[in-house]
This record gives sequence, structure tokens and C-alpha cells, in this order.
Amino acid sequence: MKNIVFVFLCGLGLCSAGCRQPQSSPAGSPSPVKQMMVTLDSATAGSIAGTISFQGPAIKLPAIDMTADPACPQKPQASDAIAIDHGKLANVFVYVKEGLPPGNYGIPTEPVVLDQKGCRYQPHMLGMVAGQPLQILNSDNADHNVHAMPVSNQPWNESQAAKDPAITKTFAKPEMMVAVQCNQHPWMRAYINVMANSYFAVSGADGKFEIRNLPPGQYTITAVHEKFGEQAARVIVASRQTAKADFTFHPAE
Amino acid sequence: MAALALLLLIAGGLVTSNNAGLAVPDWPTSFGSLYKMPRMIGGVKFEHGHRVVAEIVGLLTIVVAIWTWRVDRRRWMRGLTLAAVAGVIFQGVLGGLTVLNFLPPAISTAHATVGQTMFCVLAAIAVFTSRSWLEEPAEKIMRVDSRKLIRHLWMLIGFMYLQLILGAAFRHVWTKWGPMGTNQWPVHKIVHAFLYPHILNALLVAGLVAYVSLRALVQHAGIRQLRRPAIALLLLLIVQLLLGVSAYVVRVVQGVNEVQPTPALVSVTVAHLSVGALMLALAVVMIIQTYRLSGEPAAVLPFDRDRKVATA
Repeated sequence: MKNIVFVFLCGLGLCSAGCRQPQSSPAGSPSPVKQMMVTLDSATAGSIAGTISFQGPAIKLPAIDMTADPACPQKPQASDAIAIDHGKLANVFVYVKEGLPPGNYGIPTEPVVLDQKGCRYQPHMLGMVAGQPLQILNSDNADHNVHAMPVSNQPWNESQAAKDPAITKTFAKPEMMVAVQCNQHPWMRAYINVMANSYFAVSGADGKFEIRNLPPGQYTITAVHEKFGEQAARVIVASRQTAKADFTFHPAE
Repeated sequence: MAALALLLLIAGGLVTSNNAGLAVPDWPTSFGSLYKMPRMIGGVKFEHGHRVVAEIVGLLTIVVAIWTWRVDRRRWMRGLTLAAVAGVIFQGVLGGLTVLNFLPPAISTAHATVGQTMFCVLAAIAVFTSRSWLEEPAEKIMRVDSRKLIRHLWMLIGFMYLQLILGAAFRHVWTKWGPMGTNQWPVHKIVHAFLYPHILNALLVAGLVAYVSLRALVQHAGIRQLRRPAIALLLLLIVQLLLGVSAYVVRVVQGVNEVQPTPALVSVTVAHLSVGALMLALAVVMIIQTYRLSGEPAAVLPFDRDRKVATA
């Protein structure tokens, strides 16, 4: 009998410890600036541009069935996890991995926008700087919940009803491929890459990308796809020139 | 109440298989309210539906406990129903903790395991309050036979629990750290860590189920209280093995390239966990009945000292 009462009281204790609302405050605060600010000479800045291609047997993912929610499109929708158009691969995140002069590149104050439209995240792949605001919009008539699943940063999960005001979050630490999903609509998924600087790009539907305002120098750039892995390339950027870097992905083994 | 608890297990399975665990982000409220029904669409339909059934099961457990205290003279029975109330409260807290901490696999696995344990407790309460429990059994089991059967049933229950924990861990690690979650763990790592041991243990459980059930049928075919659960276990074993193979195909072989939980994946995986729960409960019922039928009240069934048993 005593044991039963003890277990009961422990359960109550757990209940009071667990009974709290989820936090809605931004996930952490940016770490204090310790490094020197890097100033760029726009007169000599160059860029890296290229095209991401896909070679191999065509991979067709099943169409998305959104009929579970009448407020979502009722016809089958193509998945944006693998978006290949005439051999060009979209939604590849390309960033400068090595070669940048050491220092602090600043935190942009303009928010990066993630929208929920047609019961999808738009864009599917995006980049932002650690500490930069992320503004999440719901342009649908459907209720969503936005569940970010970082590993190095604080996770969060918030509901956002149709036409609710924007939710603003930040990520304190750089982290690659933070998955974001909606547990209301399990097909909805996006990836956020939290970087230390703004030297990144995402390939468009035509496979093209461009990273601008780079100081002249030698760089290692990396291209990452959620299904096909990552590739790296070494590039030399000359003053006021655009260096070319193409990538070709193949089916995952 | 036991049947409602099985429905609750199914509702919980639907939440995980539909990846709807965080569709309602807060707890113990749902979207800020304790009583308002949210729009039951998409993932909310599964998550909030699960919470509603859980509340009903919790309330019924409290009603049964109060009723037992008022009418049942067996002290151990009163204690058991009180433990059931504590258990459902603890299970509710585990469910809340897993939501508030964004589905950590350890807590989610504990929630699944305690859920099936509570189903077994409620099934046991159903047996203890049945008319046949209070009646004198028509046939008894000899002590030497009952002790062997009890030993093997305890072994079976132990390996079934291991099977449950491995299966639940596989499901929740897949959801949280695997391709449906953060993608920290590659598929092969999850499969090697949890699924292969689950499959190996399944062979052991299958062997034990077959041995125990066949032994009970051969040696005690005339005893209804053992014959029925033994037959049910054998039939469910065949179903469960087929469901297990199907679950592997829909989850691992096909599931990695799916863009959303498919009806096949949801129905097969939920059926697999439900049949597993039924088998565990049947094993518990069988061991309870074996204790009772062995005819030695104090030595073998220590908590039912007041029950009068005619010597065999």
C-alpha cells in the first residue's frame, strides 16, 4: 500500500514538473560577437555560379495525397524532395565551406521567410545566418503546426492557424539541414541551413545557383541534397570575375 | 474497460504511424483549452482523439476503483484497482512529457511500454472480477505440471516484454532521429540497433508461444481457461508473424521512399502492435489462470489467501 502511494506521489510530482506551456520565445540568443568584422571591397568582389545536374535512372517519388485536409489541394501533388527538370536538379544547397577570410561577417537583420502555401513549405530548402530572424507565414486556409528539429539548437513546435500572424524564430548556432515538418500534414517538410555567413545559394528549377560578393581567393564549395548527399569542389575566384562550378548528382546507392 | 484500453493502444499507434505526435503542441491543454474540441483534421484528429480516449479510460479506471472499494471484500483487489489508477495517471504524465520534450525516443518508448502494461493490468482486473474466477474450477492441474507451465509462461512474458521494448524503440527512433525526423541516424543504423534484435527475439517468442500453447493444449485440453488462450495465442502468432514481415516491407523497404505515411504502412504497423498487445495480455491471463487452477492458494497464489479451495 505504501509503495502504491509513493508511486502515486511520484506521478503527481512528474505532472507538476511537466505541466508547462511550450515556449514561444526565440530559440536561444546569438552568441556575443568576438571576432573582427570583415569588410568587403565590392570593387574587387567576384562570384561563383554553376548548374546542378542529375544523371542516372529517373527517380519518381509517389505523388502527395493531401485529401486528409479539405483546405489543402485535393488533387495529387508532386513531391519537392526530388525536383528534376530536364536533367537539372533543384533545391540543392550550395555554400562556401573553406577559404573565406576569418572574421565576423555580421548578422543580417532582414528576416528570411518560410511560407506555408498550398499545404507545402515554400521554399523547400533555404539558408539563413545564425541569429538572423526567420519569419514563418501561413498563407493557407488550413491550420498548420511548425515543428523544427535541430540537433545543436533548441527545437520548437508551434501551431499556426489559418491567417495567423507570422511566427518569428532564430537559431543561435550554425547547423546544417535542420528539418522542419508539420505534424498536421505529414507530407510537409523543409530544410533550413543555419550558416555563419551569407555565402550560400539554393539551386532553382533550372539547376542554376550563384554566390555573390566573394573576395578574390581560393574556395571549397559544397553542394548538399537531402537525398543524394553532398559534393565538394575547389574554385578560384578572381577579382570581378564569376568562377564556374558545376555539380552532377547521381542516384543514392 | 480492457477493450477500451485496446482501443486506446490502437489510437496511440495511429498517432505514431501517422507522425502526428506533435500535431497538438501543448499539454495538458489542447490548443490552450482543457475542454474545447479542436478541428479534428489531419494529425490533430489522431493526437487529440488519442487524448480523448485516454481521458475516458482514466475516468473509467477511477470509477472501477471506487466501485471495487465499495463492494469487493478482497483487499488485494482493492489495491490492484488503486494501482491501476496510479498507473493510468503515470501513463498520462509520460504522454505529456513526451509531447513537451518533442518526442524523445526513451520517453516515447516508455509510454508505449507502460500503455501495454496497463492493458494487461486491466485485462487481469477483468479476469479477477469475472464470475468464473469466483467459481470452483471443474478440473485442477497437478502441482508439478503447473510449476513448469508457470515457469515457461514467465519466460514467455519476459521475452514478449523485450519484444515490445525493441519494437517501440524502433518506431520512435525512426520517427525522431530517422528519415521521418532529424535524419541523424541512417536507416541501416536503426535497423541494426533495434529491428534485427526485434526479429531475432521474434523467433524466440514464436518458439515459446508454440511450446507453451501446444503443451497446454496437449496436457490440459479439458480446461477451458487454458485451452482458449492457448488456441488464441497460436492463431495470433501466425497473424503476428505475417504482420511483422509486412511491417518490414512497408516501413523499411518501401517506406524510405514514401513522401507521407501511406494507408498500408499505417494499417499494418498499427495492426502489428495491437496483435502484439493482445498476445501479451493473453499470456498474462494464462499465467493467472494457471496459478489459480493449480489448487494451492497460499503457496502459489499468495495474494488470494481468503479464497477457499477444495483439495484435489
